[in-house]
Amino acid sequence: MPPAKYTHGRVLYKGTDLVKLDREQIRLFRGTEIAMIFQEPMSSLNPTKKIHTQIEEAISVREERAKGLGEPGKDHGTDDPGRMKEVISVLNKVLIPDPEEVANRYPFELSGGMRQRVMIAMSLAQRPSLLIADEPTTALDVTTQAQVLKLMRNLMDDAKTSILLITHDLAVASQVADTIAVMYGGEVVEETDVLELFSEPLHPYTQGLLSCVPTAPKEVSRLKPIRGNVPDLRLAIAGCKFASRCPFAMERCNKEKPKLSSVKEKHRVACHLYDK
Amino acid sequence: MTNESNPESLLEVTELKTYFKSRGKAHAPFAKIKSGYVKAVDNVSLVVRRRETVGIVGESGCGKTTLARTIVGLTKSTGGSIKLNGKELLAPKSNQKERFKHAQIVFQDYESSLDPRMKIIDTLNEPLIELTQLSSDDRRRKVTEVIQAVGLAEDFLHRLPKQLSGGQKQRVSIARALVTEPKLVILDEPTSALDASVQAQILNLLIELQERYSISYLIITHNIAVAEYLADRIYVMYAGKIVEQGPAKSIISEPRHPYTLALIASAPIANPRHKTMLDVELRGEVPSVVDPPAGCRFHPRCPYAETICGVEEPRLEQLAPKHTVACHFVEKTKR
Repeated sequence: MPPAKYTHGRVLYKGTDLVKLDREQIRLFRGTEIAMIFQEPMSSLNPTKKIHTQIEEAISVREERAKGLGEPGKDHGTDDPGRMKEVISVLNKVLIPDPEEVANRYPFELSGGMRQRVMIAMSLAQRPSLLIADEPTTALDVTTQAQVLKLMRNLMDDAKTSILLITHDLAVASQVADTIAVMYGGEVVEETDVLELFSEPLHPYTQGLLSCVPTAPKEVSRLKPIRGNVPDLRLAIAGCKFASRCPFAMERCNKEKPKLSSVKEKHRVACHLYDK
Repeated sequence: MTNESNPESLLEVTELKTYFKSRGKAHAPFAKIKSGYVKAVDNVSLVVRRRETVGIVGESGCGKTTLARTIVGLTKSTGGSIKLNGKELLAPKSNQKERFKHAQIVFQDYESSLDPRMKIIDTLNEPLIELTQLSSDDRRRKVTEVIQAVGLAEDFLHRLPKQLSGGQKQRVSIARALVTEPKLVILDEPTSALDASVQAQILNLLIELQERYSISYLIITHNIAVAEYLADRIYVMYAGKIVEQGPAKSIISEPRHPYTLALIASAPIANPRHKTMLDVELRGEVPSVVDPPAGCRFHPRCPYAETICGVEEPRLEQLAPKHTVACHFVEKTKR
């Protein structure tokens, strides 16, 4: 088997099933339809090219695709004054000071927060409908994290772009997200509105996760860690993957896998405790 | 532990300076780094009392890790004084073995702080051999005691680090720090490489160990929630300086330095009803400590800055009996 293989299911994006597309077809969705930013901005930027060249490349991809020309040739990112103007304007939008100067720098000359802003500027330049942000601020300091997330949220609101934020930090998710899906062992175990998830978590894993996050001094409330460890995904687990760590596990949990189902309006959970 | 009822301070750091020589061009030919001194820790004074947990919060590059390393003697200081148990550690003839025995450190990166070729028992034995006169039987007893105290079974002693999970490795690092019965344990970002449920386990373990061994903690963290959970008092560091100090409760709920204000607001709270994080109005980034801004080091980013802030460095002044702030316009942050 290859390192990762799609086995079944659908990924519907604006009505198109993405998993049915071949490599060339899906290429056209990358960037201009679905853009992605990663945890480590340094390894997503080309270390040998100046910032403006890399953003111009993103712009030219968008322009060529809009004209229906498919993919641009190798000579994109040349000194088109119009494009340079747009580069400065997107760098301005992500609140980079002295955008003219920064555009002429290489990635290594920028701080982590600045690099992540450049990544956001680059995705912004492609005008995607969906932005997937994979731990975009995990490598950043808290004040920079706040700036970057605020920026991401405001810009995407303006451009009407949806964001899929992937994070291990519940606090970050609570501040930014509208809806949260909680994953455990490769599966979504709960999905609901952010306010509801924090006020009324249903899945024992979500409950456990919330009681692991410090919110008050130790004298006021002691943390309650989830016992045990994350299961090895190579093992075939017949029932619920959380059963071995779950304080409410029943016999049934080890035998039968719970399905993600609606327990009330806009609140889905995969747990036998809520079976009707 | 001796003098348990002694109210005096265990650790007293006074006007500590740790400067590094910046090599300028040779170091980074294209980057705009001037040669000179990196003032990583600049005139820092702090106190840790017996059995107290003190937090140092700040962002990367503020000098908090250098401060920790200087206290335990891993980095050389440039000036100032560090007293542990009343004894000066920076005096030319001070006993460094005593220092290492009584002041230990737990590092953020448990991967690189354990020797991959050493069994856990050897890692735990080494400080005892180096720093104490215990017999091999006593050492064995002590090692067994600490491994159990950190919640691991005795058979972990015969394993290698690669056979342990991240949380288990950090437990071993804590055991290694505790084995010489130190009075002060410095925790440098002890849980930031761990996921939420393991972090919660380690934080609770630290509380248990403190009660059991009557140790003082100096916890260095960028995570405000962790500092709030553990610390009795908090120092806020910015660009090599302490800008605010006070009881944890006051720092978290009534921060007065504009930087602390921004830092606390930026720290995400796991509560969707309090979206403070997206309201922060803070420009720019942490300045370089090679060429820090004149006057108050925070003034280029500060929403309240006036002319004087760029000229004169504010001193730490008492605001309340236990709360000190270094800001010229502290009345502007009054709520």
